[in-house]
Amino acid sequence: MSNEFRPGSRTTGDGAATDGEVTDGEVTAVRALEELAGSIETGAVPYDRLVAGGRRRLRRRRLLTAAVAAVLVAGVAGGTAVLGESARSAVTTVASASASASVVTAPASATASAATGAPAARDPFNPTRVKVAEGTANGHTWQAWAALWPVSSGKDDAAGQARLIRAERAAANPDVKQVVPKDVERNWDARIDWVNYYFTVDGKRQVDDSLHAVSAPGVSPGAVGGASLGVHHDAGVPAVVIEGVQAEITKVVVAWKSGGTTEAATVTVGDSPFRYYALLAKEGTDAASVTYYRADGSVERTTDSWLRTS
Amino acid sequence: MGAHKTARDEEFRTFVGSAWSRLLRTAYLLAGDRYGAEDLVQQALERAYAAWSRVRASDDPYAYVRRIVINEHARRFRRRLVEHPVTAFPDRPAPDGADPDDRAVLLAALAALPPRQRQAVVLRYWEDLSETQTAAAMGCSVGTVKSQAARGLAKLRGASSLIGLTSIGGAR
Repeated sequence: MSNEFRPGSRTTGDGAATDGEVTDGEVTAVRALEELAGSIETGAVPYDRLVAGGRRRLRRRRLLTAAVAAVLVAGVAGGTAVLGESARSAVTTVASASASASVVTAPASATASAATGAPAARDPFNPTRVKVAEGTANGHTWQAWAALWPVSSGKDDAAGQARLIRAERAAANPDVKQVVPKDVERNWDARIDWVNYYFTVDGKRQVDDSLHAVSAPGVSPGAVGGASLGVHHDAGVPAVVIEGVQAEITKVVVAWKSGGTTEAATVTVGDSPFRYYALLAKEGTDAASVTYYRADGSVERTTDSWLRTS
Repeated sequence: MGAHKTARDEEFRTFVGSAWSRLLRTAYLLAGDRYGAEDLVQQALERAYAAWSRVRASDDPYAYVRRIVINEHARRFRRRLVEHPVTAFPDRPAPDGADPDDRAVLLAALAALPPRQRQAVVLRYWEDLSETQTAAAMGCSVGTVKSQAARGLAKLRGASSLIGLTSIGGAR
């Protein structure tokens, strides 16, 4: 036992003692607490659970760091956040402070390298750009896009990549802040890709977008997330929901609080270890639940915790 | 990377193996029930794993993790998450004929102490820390430790189970 009473200690017979003196009351307390503590079986050490929990914390911390980098690198002054944040993700979603502007879709230097989910060579300066979903609403055509920016090989390239991402976003939203070298220096992570969710209406990229830290291929796929875009700025269509999900998910069904459901199929984006879906929210309501289905039709999970669309 | 992780895990495993029982018992006295104690220790050890480089570099890794337990206990108390009434009896038969009911009453008396008093009593009289060490673990002054421990002890002294247990143990 670790705290056996030391026989050489001197007792004083009352409750007050100085260091080196032990009272009867303290002797009593030592023995009583020892009895009490010794009364429980400590059992086997749940080592695997502890390590798994520790690793989860590590991942979460790294992803939060990466998400902070997203805010710092591409933060928007006065922006209002609509966070599509599932429990497993670190997400940064920004919406422009200037409410009305929408800009023609014009990727500054990054060309649309892919309109399908086919994996391409990983080039940190050329994102894999995939149209995740499209449709028509209120007489407007909308398209939801995911641009996957592979992690760069070092901090110098990360700075260049951040400037490209910033330029592309700033073309639609002038409030996106300039890249600060210190942010990249501090926050680059070799295991983190970036995915930029955005949407267009009648061919124009809208001001609201969302930049997410996502796990790169080959590492434990723990980080991904989603967003509701266009909630705060009227784009002429309801909010567009885009989310990354685990690779086993092939279908997502959103049930709306006012009734009805919307279904979306997931697609791949480059070599991202996740799949992605997008759908148009039902006007004037929020999701009551989001259900994720595997290819065999089984439900992977249902959540009511993250999706806000009004 | 893989070798680094393996070495880290091995070190952590060794540490946990040696510290688990003592941490769990300390947490049990703080939390007042086994499940709360396990949760407390698990959280502390997960944090320790995530910050293992700092933990192993410290002078006393056990003291480092114990400090996490203390802080987590204080945080939970502030949020009122773990202040369950104590109804469970100890998990194994009492040795030496001690009455489990007495222990349950003592546990309840301990759980009824304000958290700082409870921490001071547990660290001083179970963890066997000096007043200075207790002050360091609690992040307070030695004077505060003295007063908190004395008050806590005075309240526990009123618990009949304490008297009963120590009579059985032969302290009187």
